[in-house]
Amino acid sequence: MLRNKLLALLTVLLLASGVSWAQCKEFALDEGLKQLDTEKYIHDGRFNAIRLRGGDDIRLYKSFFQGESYRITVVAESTLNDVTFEVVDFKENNVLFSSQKSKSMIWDFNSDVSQRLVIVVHVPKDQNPETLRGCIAIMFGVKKDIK
Amino acid sequence: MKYLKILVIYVLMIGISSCSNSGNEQNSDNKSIDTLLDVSSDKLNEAYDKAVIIFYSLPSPVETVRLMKRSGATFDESLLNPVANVDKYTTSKALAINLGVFGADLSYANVFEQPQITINYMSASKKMADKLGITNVISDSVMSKFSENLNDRDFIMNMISEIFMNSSAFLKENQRAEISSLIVLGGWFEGLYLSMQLSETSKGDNTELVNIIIDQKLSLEDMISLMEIYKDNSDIKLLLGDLNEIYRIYLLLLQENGEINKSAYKELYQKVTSMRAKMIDNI
Repeated sequence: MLRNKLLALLTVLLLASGVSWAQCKEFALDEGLKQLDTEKYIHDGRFNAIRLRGGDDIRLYKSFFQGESYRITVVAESTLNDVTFEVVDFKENNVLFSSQKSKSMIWDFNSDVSQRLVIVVHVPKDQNPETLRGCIAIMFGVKKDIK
Repeated sequence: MKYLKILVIYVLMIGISSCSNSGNEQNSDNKSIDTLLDVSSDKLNEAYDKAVIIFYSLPSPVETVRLMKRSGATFDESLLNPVANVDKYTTSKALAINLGVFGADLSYANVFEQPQITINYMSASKKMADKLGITNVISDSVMSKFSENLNDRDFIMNMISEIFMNSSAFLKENQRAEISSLIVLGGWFEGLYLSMQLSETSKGDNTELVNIIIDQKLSLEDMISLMEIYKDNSDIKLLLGDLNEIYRIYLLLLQENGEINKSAYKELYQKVTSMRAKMIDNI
């Protein structure tokens, strides 16, 4: 009985994810690319966006390569309040960047080694999480500098 | 009250990682999973309210060819999947994989400032996207804009990225995430293939190219995890077997003293070359 409930729940979640993606494409293409600043950074071409509600979290795993300069930015629709993100070293679990501490939703950095990092996005739980939903897009760019 | 662990994960494609083959990483992932939810059976709704969404984002061909350029690699048209092959791809699997391959080839041509070859591969990519039913992503107006700015390498690179982001979003919107994962596979694998070939034919110091190849082990782990999600698909299961074989060789590549194991490197070269041949020959 419970197993069936769980399967039904997972099915709903997976089906819902298509809808979530659908509603975030334009947001990622508009707001995401704007904040990434494609004059200075080349977007990596990946679509990492979804519609969430208060209380949900995202963990995104990505490799970064030695010698490249990157920009990581997270954009959220205004219906989601106080979204924050951290960048954590995968191996040591050290926090390398905190948007809350830096008071910025953009992190520019040079990768001295090839490494895997985890981007952790927090969406604070709202008093009425059923009604407050919004898109979040995680964007990556590499600096335009090679000749 | 009876307590059960409920794991609620959306696995969102377009990159995916966390390799089950890697000890440390497996532990780390398990840790994140263990902390997800621990709720009672009558709190399913509450569980639904708290989801941890996991994305794994693979490096795009744009990133890989930039690394190749920086390493001092040269352009070699003979390495590309010929555009004439476009007509022989008819299945979704072959179209998706080779759309990724063409995406990497056109990124390679663009970064190495080969405008005519770039436009040829863009036209081929449009045909493949159309056949896959990815509509309006590479429209006639996009093609015109592409042609008009062909000599602006960075502008074109941003256009290529936007096209692939749009294609991925389109496929996910239409519940075709498996197809999107095959495009990712084709693009990533072509980057690995080009790096290996250029490393072999390089007349100068190829150390940086070899380092790029070694670093792709991280991405391979991501790729395997992505394919694992769709392993019920028989085509993907076959590809997964090849990827796991390549991973096995990767584990032998670096010796304890930090030197490259030459015999493993040769085996890797042969395996990557044969798998790429299968991909573009529509086998």
